[in-house]
Amino acid sequence: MADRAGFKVEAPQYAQQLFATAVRMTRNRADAEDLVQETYLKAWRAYDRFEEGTNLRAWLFRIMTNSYINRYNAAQRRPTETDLDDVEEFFLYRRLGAVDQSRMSASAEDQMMELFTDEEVRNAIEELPETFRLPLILSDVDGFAYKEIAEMLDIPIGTVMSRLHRGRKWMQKRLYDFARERGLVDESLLGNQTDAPDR
Amino acid sequence: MAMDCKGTLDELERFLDQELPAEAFEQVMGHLRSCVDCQQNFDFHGELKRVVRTKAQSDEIPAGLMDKISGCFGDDWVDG
Repeated sequence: MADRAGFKVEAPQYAQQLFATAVRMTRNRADAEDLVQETYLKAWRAYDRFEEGTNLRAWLFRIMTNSYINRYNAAQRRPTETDLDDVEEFFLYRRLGAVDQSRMSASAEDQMMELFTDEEVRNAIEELPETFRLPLILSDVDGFAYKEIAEMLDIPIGTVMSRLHRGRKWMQKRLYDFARERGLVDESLLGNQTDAPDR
Repeated sequence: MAMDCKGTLDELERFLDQELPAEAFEQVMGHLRSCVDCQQNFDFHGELKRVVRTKAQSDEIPAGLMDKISGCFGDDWVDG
């Protein structure tokens, strides 16, 4: 017998995380609010099927991901793989060596936190084609394991990994573009840099 | 068994995602202890991961959402 009193106390503590994830998915606060509400309603109605002792947070995220895919017909959309083809050889790590250090004051650990605004990081994620956006959100924002993501999205683990890889490359390229647009990158320092990794 | 730079960088994502099996994890750690270049690369991506998570997860929830959530917990689940 599922403990509904316990659910009422425990489940709402994930509302903020679910909401932030819903905004990244729907790219819209009003839609995200609806999606979170729908998630709690479905969870409440289905709670008899929740196994006590398993992960309530993962269960709620799974319900929300399903709801998002159903609501927006996301699974029907064809992967737009070609959109990401040209970023395979991009390495933010090497490029950011050209960031003008004098314009950043903080310690090394805080530099990247200062370099990109919340808005830029959120946009870099939200601009990703859906096929790559969902795995990236569930991994990089919510910290789920490959196996959990594979189950939530009903795709093989290898596909999760390859989509994460390409999505991250693409996101890094967008972050670099944002830094450049704000004049944080001194292009003259890029002269002797290549995107080829050392071997 | 020693791991080279290429083999180490190939495992960067699985390493940072904490998805590497113990043996491969030890091999990567072994290489990182002896290779400053790879270590800086891994540090950079670890830091980027932290920045992305922090900034993409900090949205303030709309006023009233918590009340709407409480409103979901009615008695209508009892269907018989």
